[in-house]
Amino acid sequence: MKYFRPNSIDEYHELLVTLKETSMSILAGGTDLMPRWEPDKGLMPDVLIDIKKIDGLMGIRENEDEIIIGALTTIQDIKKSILMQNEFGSLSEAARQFAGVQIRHRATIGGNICNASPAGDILPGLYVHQANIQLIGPNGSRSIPISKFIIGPGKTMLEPGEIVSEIHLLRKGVKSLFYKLGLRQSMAIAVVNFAIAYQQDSNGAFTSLNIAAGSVAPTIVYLESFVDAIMSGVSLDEAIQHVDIDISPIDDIRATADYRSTALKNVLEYNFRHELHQGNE
Amino acid sequence: MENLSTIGQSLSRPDAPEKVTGKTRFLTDISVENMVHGAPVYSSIPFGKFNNIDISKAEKVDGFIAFVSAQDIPGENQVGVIISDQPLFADKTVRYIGDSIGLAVAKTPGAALEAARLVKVDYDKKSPYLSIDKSRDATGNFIHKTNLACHHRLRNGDIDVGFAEADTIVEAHFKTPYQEHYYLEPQACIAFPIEDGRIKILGSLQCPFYIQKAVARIFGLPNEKVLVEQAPTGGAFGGKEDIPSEICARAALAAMKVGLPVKVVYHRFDDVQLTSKRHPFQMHYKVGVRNDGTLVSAKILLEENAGAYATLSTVVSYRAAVQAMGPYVIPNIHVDSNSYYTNLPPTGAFRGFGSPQAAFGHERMMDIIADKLKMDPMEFRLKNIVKPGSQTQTAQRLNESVGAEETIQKAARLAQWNSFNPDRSGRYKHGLGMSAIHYGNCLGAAGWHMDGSGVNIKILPSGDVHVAYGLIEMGQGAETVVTQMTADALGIAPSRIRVLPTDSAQVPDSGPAVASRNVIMTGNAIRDAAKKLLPVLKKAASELIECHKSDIIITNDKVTDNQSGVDVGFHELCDFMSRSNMSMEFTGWWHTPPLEYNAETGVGEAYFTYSYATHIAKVRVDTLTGQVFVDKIFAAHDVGKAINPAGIEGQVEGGVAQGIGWAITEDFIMDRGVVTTPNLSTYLLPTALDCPEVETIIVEKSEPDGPWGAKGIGEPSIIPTAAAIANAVSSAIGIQMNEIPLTPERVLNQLNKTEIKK
Repeated sequence: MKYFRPNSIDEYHELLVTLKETSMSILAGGTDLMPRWEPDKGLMPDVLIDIKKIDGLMGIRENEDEIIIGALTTIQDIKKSILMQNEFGSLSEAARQFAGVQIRHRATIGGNICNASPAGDILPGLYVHQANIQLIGPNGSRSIPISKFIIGPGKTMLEPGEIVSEIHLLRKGVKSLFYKLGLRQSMAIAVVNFAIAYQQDSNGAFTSLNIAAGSVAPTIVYLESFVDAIMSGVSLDEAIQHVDIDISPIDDIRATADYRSTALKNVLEYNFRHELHQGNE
Repeated sequence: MENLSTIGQSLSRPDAPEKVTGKTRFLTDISVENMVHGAPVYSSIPFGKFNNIDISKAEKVDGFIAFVSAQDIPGENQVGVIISDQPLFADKTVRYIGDSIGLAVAKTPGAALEAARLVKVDYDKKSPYLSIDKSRDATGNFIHKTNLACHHRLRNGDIDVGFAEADTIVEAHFKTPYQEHYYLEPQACIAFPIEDGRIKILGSLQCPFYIQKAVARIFGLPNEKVLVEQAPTGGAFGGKEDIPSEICARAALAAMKVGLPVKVVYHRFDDVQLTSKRHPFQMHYKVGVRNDGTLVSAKILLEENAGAYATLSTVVSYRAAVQAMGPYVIPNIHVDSNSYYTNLPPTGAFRGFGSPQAAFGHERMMDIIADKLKMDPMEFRLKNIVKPGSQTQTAQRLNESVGAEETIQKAARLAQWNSFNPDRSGRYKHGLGMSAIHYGNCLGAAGWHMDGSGVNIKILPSGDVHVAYGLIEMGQGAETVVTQMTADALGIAPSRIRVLPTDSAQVPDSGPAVASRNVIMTGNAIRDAAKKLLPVLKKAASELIECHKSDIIITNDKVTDNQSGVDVGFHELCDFMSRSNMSMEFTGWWHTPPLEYNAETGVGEAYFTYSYATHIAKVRVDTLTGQVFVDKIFAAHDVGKAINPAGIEGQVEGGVAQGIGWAITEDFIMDRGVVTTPNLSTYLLPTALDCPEVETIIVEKSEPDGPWGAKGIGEPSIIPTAAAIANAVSSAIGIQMNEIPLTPERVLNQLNKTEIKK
């Protein structure tokens, strides 16, 4: 395996032109990548490009309309960001519950997005806040909504040579929360996770509502049927049954499909009743 | 004169600074000149026969050196430690996915692994037995001559009379799962050929003398031709009791074949697939009780999944049988304990050795009966608990070192057992659960013939003292307590003492470092050595000081003539002895007291003494998800005498953590014999956040045959935990949880079932 570490986007693009090898991996935090090279799993790629030193891809910045997170920003930086805590509660909470302390210091938000895990903890928050993913590639840059960027387990719209540069979040004053169910208290892959973004009027009625759930489908999914039912004013008891329309969970070593569905509905219903004060408490 | 003994003091561990700063060199870090590497080749099917091993592709791997298999064995192709049912390399029959075919040897670990993967074996598959039920009910085509690996029984009293006297008879069925040791350091060794035909082994191990015998057997050599040294060992928990014997024997064969040192370090995924685990048990308890809560009769069936080879199942099965009803008086009891072969990885020694499983049975049972009788579970236990002079379930009369009752009372007081009255109306249901256990120390009647251990104490001219012992440090703190006990036995400062790495050439065969026996065995051997050593020291001192030897006192690192008050430093005495050409090396030996035990009926003295413990778990169950949170553990342990209280707290906290894992998070899953949870992301050990505060309470009921009164702690620390948690969860949700692990899914399913019934 050949290892390269470009210091800028330009250097990175120059490097791409010279490479002849067939298989290539991008290294950011490496927390998802390196375990794949265990001898019982896959082979190392011919080329590894470490993008950690590329200028300008790290840190959280803001302007009037947006918060912009550099792709190399660590989960730990997101966890400790007051800005994120104040305006994007679900992402802040997801970062808090993300893996363990060592991994939070290595893992990057860009890496978590490109890994496109159906169980990714950062992803539901990005979905409900309708994050836009900024990409840079040999043919210039482009922007795609997160829900269009991720197309399957481990699959994204990244073209060869393209990397994620930034994540854009609109500052709309939407509140959000995040929930994760794992099989232990840290270092756990979610059996179910979800984020809820919402705005309520003074009577507690939703003026906007967006929910995305993880580990219940090949990608993070929006719980659209459930949201539609809630917004149309049916009872919570009835609306919650719509969740099964939105999800397509599977059995694996962590849990059965039935369990994922039941636990998701139980906790979602509880959150609507007790956190968002819908239905009878 | 004030005695500055360190017995009872929390002396810090001599091995700690190097370990916490990462300086300790474990086997992975050790390289020797010309060393090559071995990787295991093993069966990919659970049961069948093979005729041909094709290594043509493996040979082409760059760096390939050799392939070692059954035909290379000069001695006996047999590594069975108790029952001779396990070939070192499979001889035409494979019995589990992981059964050894050979060892690929290459210049690098990577090349060895690649070559191992490329060895092709053609199999004729047989229909495998993948459960206890399938194995038990088989009528032919057995895994060995029979599918029953072993059987133990206990017949004490008359259970029919007992059940007739009972007012209530309660029956229940329990299941406990596998547990993988997950020692931080995987199995590892280096085998060295020595020019004169001897073989040296450096290994991560628990039982150097098991390895010595196993390697000697493979080569047909006398034991002493095999030298075994222990490398710093990164955890074992029983997983390095018998397993290193086979790994070292294969490495030794390879080393002798290629004439070079051969290192074998298992990758974690191989370690988990190939090596032993805790036996899964299924248990049926039928217990009769009077209305006042007196236990009168019990009929217990324990069934154990032994895996493909018996390994240590016979003694695990024995321990479970003689402890099956726990620390309670019960006059009539029948126990049958059956281990069945299956086409799954062999199960063997794991901290507790059958006791955590039996404890789950008897302690769940105690709660279920208390519930039926509407008695407080603590009162019910206290009503039946063994006391000094009581008879155990095997009709053994107990001596004075019986702290069972006190552990219950002290744990209950601290946990505020009597005032616990939670609000159970909300999402989270709170529960408190108790579990009391006894644990037979050392090898007991089934292993008495090998229950002796030795030390070799050498006084150096500088005043330093080297202690060689036959048991080992595997992370449990043995070096610390050996230091303390030696210092106290000789009256000298602990700083003088250096505990040597265990080396078969330096010490007599001391049996295995298992069964929580290190403090008792080594401590008593130290006292035996000191008994021989002290008169020599005193005689020498009397010559040095010119006084009567009966007036010499050695204490607090000083050698004093009690008549004149003249004293010399211990190092001055040692220097004098050296110059006077005196003997300065002394051995000590101790064997456990004789036991009267009838193996046919199981009645008699099963172990010479018992440790006792009570754990109380405080839990919270999320009724929406089934998640169990352990909020606190109160752990009271009767250890006879705490040689090192901090060491005991460490053992207890570690045991509790491992118990929480077994009870809740560690779900070991196999699919047709393939482990599907082979790594840390799928086999979930509890993390720091899963482990609550543990309040350790030390109870000291001095054991007359224990050194300074001490008994074992290593295993008792894990035995009650899972049952205490399951009792707490059952109490919290009002459903009897009779199977672990208590995964969220298992708990939620039970909650949903009960809701539907309502």
